[in-house]
Amino acid sequence: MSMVNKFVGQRVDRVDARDKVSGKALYSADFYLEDMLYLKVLRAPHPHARIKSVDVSKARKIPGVVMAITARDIPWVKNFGMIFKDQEVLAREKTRYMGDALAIVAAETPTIARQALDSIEVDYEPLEVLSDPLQAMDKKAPYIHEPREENCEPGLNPGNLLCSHRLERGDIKKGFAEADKIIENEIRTPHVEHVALQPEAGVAKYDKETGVCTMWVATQWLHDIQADVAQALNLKAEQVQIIQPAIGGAFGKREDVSVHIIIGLMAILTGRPVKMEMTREELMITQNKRHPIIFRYKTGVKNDGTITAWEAEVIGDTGAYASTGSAVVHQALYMCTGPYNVPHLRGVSYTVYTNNTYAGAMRGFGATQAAFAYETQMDCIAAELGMDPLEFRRENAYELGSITPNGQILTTSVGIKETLDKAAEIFGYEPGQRSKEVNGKIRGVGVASSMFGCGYGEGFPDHSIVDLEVTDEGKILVHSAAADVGQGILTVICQIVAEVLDIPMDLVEMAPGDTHSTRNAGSTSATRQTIFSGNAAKLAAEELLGKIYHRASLELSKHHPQFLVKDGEVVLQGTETRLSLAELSRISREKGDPLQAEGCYFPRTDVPEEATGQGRLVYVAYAFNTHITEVEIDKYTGETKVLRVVAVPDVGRVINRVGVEGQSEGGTVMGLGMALMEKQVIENGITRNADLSTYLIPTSLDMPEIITDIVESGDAAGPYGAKGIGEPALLPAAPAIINAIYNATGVRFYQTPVTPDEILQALQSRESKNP
Amino acid sequence: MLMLIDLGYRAPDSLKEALQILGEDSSYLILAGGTDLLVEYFDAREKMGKVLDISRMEELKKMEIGEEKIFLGALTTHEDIYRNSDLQKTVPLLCRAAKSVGAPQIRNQGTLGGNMANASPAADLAPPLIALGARIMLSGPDGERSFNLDEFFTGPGKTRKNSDEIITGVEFSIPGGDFRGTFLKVGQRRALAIAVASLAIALSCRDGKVEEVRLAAGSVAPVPLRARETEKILQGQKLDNLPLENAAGRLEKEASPIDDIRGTGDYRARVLGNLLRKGLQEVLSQEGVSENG
Amino acid sequence: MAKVKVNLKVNGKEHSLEVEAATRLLDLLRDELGLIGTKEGCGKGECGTCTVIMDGKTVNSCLVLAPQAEGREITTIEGLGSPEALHPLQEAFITKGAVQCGYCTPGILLSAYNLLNKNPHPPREEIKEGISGNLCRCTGYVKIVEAIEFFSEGRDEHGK
Repeated sequence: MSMVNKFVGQRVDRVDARDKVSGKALYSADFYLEDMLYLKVLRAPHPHARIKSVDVSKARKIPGVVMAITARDIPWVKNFGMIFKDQEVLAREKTRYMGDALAIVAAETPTIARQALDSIEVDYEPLEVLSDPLQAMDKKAPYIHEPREENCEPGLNPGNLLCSHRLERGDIKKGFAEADKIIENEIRTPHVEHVALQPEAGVAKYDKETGVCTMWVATQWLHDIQADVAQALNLKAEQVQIIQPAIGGAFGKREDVSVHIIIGLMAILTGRPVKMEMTREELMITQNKRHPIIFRYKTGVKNDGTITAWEAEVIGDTGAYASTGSAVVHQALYMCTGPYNVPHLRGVSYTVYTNNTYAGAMRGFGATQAAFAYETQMDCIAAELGMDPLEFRRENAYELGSITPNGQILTTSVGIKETLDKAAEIFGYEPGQRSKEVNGKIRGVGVASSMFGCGYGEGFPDHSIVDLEVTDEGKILVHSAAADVGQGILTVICQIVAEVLDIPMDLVEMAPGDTHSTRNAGSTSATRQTIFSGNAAKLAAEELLGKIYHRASLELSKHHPQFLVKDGEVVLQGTETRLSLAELSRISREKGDPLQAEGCYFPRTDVPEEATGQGRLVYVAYAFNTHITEVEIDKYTGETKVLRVVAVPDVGRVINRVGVEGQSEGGTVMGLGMALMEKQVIENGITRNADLSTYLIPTSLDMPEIITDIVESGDAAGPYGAKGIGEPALLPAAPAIINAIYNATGVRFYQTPVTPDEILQALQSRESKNP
Repeated sequence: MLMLIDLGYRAPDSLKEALQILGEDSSYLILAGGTDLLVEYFDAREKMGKVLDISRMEELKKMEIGEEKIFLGALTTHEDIYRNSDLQKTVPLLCRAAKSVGAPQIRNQGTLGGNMANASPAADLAPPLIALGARIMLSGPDGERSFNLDEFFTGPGKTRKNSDEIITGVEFSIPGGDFRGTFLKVGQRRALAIAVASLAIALSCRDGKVEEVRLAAGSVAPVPLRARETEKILQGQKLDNLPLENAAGRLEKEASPIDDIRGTGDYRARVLGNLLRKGLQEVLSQEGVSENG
Repeated sequence: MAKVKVNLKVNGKEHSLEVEAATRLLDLLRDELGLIGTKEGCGKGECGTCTVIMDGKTVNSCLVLAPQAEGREITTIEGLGSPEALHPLQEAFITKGAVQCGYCTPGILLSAYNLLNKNPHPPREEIKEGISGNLCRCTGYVKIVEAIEFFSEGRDEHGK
């Protein structure tokens, strides 16, 4: 049952749009402080090398260079990292990938800083480069990191295996015994780059008097980066103040430390404000990538289409450093079957170091790679059984009561079947439809569905806090550390606050995110902000509403039920008596009880059992999505055009309708890129396409027709029954395209991207088989 | 050690002045639209040394569309070419190539002269100009020189231009009679795409036969390729019975494409053959000079 | 470092500046004039984020040397409208949800604005082509195209 709300569920303007369209929004590089120095970083000369010396003496002599340092100069600075602290601010003894930093230069102008880099001499001894995780897993391979005591998988390289995880439910042998057919495939995804349009940049200053280092720099989790900077520089958290600027996209790119520790360090050492801007090339080589993952799948199925068993081996290349690799790769394992009922399953995942750029969070966090793998597998099985791909998915799709790979029984908000049905209806899907030729081009249709566990889950202490206050102007000031990276969380928070308090949205104001004045909102990742910060905002607003009632009833000496809070005022029903929020705020302040409230959403989830990955409640919600996609292939060139996509996500409940559509459209086009053109080519640890003319993302001319229809299965853990859309929006996009290419050409591809080259080859080999 | 490099910057108004400067010091880098030079020196602009900005030289901006010849000044931009209605009427294949360059901003800045001087094997304007039998004109301290465009490029990034010369423009005869032409480009996406392979076809027909044919391809050889051997196969043939397969096969062999980040040599050769098949089908269905490209 | 004097008009206002010859127009606008609405995305003309209008044409300001802007008229995003007085095209972007992270927005607005000045009622394909030099990673372009269409449909025959 859906209520029509005033703000929630409506089309609402973004609260930060005005500044963005007029060029007034301030992003990390838009801050200019007086007397600022410019920083440049010297990066590794070789992807795996023993460093003998880094000589900055010439750099120091250049006029305009204020400071040039190497690891030797900062022995007191500690390692950093998202989960494991295995990354050095400046490499001491060896480089493990091309992005390792060897020296930092601070100069009066960026040009001088750049020239200084050229003068630095590095003496090094190359080591064997491991760029293939399968090679790195081998016991005989050289260690990239020293083995950690607790990681050991006998038979595998202890220096290069970061960790492994397991999944098991039911009896896999029994499952395969019950199967009529067993389908085995190896499916792979490549390194993918986020291409958030705003390059990494930051500005920092240090106040000697207060001992506080203040920085303006984008993060996805203010307080987490604050903690990492503080521990690395031996500071107390209060000494690191991060002020959240506008953020030019993230998609997981800004989870890891990039410039943060360096700008803090140099602001302290030089005593002057500093600015660092990474070039596009530098950040493409240095900052995290999507994990390339190898999926080895074995699925058992009955002739009637029932899945009986699913076995998976998942190997992820986490590159030179751990980042969030231990989590990403095992999440790929935890999503490995997709949203389909599987009674018996078993799986293992390995997170492996190599000398490639380290991999970390990228939209989907393992679930994207898994979606490509399981949707390819499902499509293969359907073909093997002679079943229509959509019908086969529908037969096996989750319903209320279904059990996830982690053993969680889904008791609310399972809309996957509805997404399949709606998509089929809107698209005009014809079961068993074959490819057709139109104007000399070949067309095909593909289906893909996906699932995504929202929030960190797995017993992680995931929570979000929102603080509200009523100002003396009668506005609601919202304090939230939630990072709006373009997905629109700040607007969602305002909508929710406005909804609960029945106050016009332009009277709800967001205070800037700031570690010192906002409390933990958790990460903008894991498709969690609508659920976590949204719920926190709702709780805070409800607490505030209660306080408004309380204060009003004291002031007017009336019963609570006689009041109504409407349009930003307290109304005594049946009378002309009004009390403005401004007045109420003033009165409360005078009484020593200011009108403020806080909300914290802190749900409990279970830590999955180590040996089996099972838990009762591992994620607070699952979001689902289905795409049906039509492609058109040029027979002469193999070029593929995506004609139209029908996208039907199940978001539980819509908060901002325009926002959900925008995410769905953006995710679809990002998936188009992943399917047809995106691969970060790293050969022997060297990135071959570190700019935007060789790493290609879709342009406006590549945009297909996209129809987004939304399923609101309601009842989910988020505010008003909402889940989230950020990552789910992407997951089925690439698989549906690849499945459509199969429908068009009869050739199955097990890797992305599928290039015109491969398609032309596939068409020509098909022709030679059927002349 | 002198660390700060003196960037000498000169912006002459006239060709005469420009040549004088180059005559004294031919180490000047020539800057027109900046879409190649400033990319080459990205993050290292201080290393450019001396820059001769020729972008203000009006005399290089003219487009002369005569009765029989067309002259395009070196500072003509891709956008100028794409949007010119006379060119669209007479040589639509050239406009199509200009349209396929990058995107609006790049087309607004990038120049014909720059495209030629940069001499990328993937230069989009080269194949149609070669197919139109264009000559490229240069001015230097010793006077003027000109070359057939298909003899101008000597290797990737290399031409016969001396460092004290400036390209002044390109000239070609307006094709007459029953002329058909086309330009096809394969890219990895639909805009801002450097050609993976491209093909320009210029066909003059008479009495149902191929009277004259020129084929020029991009990104399939160290220089823009004039496919003379393939032309010979088509020369004089009947339009309703063109030896398509033979020609496509020959074209694939004439090319010598490499593997690079944008594609494999194998694909480039195969797709080139297909571009010829596709392109010839297209020109055969055209009606002649007034057809849209 | 060789310095040059550059006289140019930006958003209708005349400026006379002395900058190093190797300064890009992008840096001149941001660092010298404080017009930080023009952003850098790649520095190589591959993303269109730094788009400005120069003498009526859109250019990537990262590929223009400051002295090349001598005597020219530049329009940056600040010249289109301010938060208090937005151009209807900017309003359309807001209304239609065409703004997510906002980093591509200034450049894409100027490309759209320039296109609409030349053709007030462009068909969809032409709109897509008009902004094809501006990359966007958040929106998938759909609502940007819709916003431009919405604006152009709302114009009366006088092009207002």
